[in-house]
Amino acid sequence: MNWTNTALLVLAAIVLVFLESVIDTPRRWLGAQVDFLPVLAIYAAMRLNLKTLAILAISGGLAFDTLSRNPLGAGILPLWLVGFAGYHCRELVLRDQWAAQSMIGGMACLGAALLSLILLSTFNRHDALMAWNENNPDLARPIDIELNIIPLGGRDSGPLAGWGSWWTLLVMTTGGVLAGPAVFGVFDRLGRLFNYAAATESTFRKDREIVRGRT
Amino acid sequence: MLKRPSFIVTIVVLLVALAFVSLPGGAAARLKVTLGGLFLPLFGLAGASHNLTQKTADAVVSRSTLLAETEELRQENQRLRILAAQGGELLRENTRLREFLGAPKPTAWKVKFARVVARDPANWWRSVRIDLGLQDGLRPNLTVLCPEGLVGRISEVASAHSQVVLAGDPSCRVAARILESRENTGVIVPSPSDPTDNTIVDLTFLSRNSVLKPGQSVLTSGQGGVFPPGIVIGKILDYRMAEFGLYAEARVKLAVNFNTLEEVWVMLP
Repeated sequence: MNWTNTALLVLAAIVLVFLESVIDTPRRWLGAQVDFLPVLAIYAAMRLNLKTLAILAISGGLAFDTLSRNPLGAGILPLWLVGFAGYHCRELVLRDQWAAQSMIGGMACLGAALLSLILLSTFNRHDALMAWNENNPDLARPIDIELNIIPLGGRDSGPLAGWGSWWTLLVMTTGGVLAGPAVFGVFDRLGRLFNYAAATESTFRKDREIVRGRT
Repeated sequence: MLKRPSFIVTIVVLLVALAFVSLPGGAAARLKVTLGGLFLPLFGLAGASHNLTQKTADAVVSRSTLLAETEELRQENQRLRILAAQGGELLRENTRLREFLGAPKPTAWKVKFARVVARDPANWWRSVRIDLGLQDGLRPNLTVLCPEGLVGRISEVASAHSQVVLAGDPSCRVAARILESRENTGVIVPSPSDPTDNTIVDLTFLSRNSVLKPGQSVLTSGQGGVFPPGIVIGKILDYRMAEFGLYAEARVKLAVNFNTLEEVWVMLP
């Protein structure tokens, strides 16, 4: 495993998560924030190996969940699944073409967002049910409603998703389409900068040289 | 079919994810706070660069603009002093009348200024991070507000930062009432018609006999025990009957614009 690439990717993931939470210009202008982690995951899957992808999914997912209201660990699986799917298709993808990089970047962002939504809906429904069982509903007071201890019929504490989420998904996918070639370009360049170039063997062999003339 | 190394790595990732997700609430919150400490240098860097930009911007503001702004602020200060004097007199009168009635004395709000330093990177929640924490005396469930009205409540507290869930987030329900009719109380929840619009929420579980009109003001009722009464939440846009006429619901336009929220006040106990 090339540890320089792995370290660079993990560092980039942490910094990108931080920037996503500090810079809210896309949210102000477009109403949704763009997530670059799936593009990093797809880069790790296309260019590197499964171990790097696993490390990136765990560290990036945890970093994202730390700054978000997501349950801790909820961000790991979507990144891993998206990257894993990419890893198994990587021989079928023209991954050096910018158009292909755009396409897989967009698909990764869309896939990760949809998987996150599904997982978060599942986790939060479970939490609400657990809270319901732990607290006798007969004792429910208004304070229990404000602190979410009791669920309000059909209005549990799941993620905010509705018709407007299609716009959110569109913005995230477009972000992935634009970020795909950029991430591939930057990390390919960084990889060349920090790693030794692969040794190229010449087909010329000295011991097979035919020397003309007298020796 | 998965090859052996792929299978092993997949199992490891799944186990790690499951281990984190199944952590008990308290342990997960503590771990989140600890992991959040990793971002402190980055937050420090961002704060320093923000201050630098601010100072640079301040340095290029013309003297005439500054003088005009000072004059405007002086006038506003005088106007607020007059209002405060009037309010003080009303408060004294209110306290005296409460004493006659034997009602408990109203408590003055103690607030602390905080800056919004980050927002939730996920699009599915409404939360922000502020630059006050345990060391500033904050604890979970304190009310956060700004001059326009209610912002939300503190959900997680680290040493130097705290997370605030905003009104309209699924985990920030608010017991509310309508200003024009005190008996009309309900609960503020995310609007199911468009939960992604962070300017609209629903006021639900209102009495079906409620007299509702667009434009009525919605305030916190104080019945929930988390938010004190009398903080402005927003204004009613429209209303409808819910669950075959069992209760009424109203869409409420929030008074605070969360997209431009940069400074807030935390209400200390």
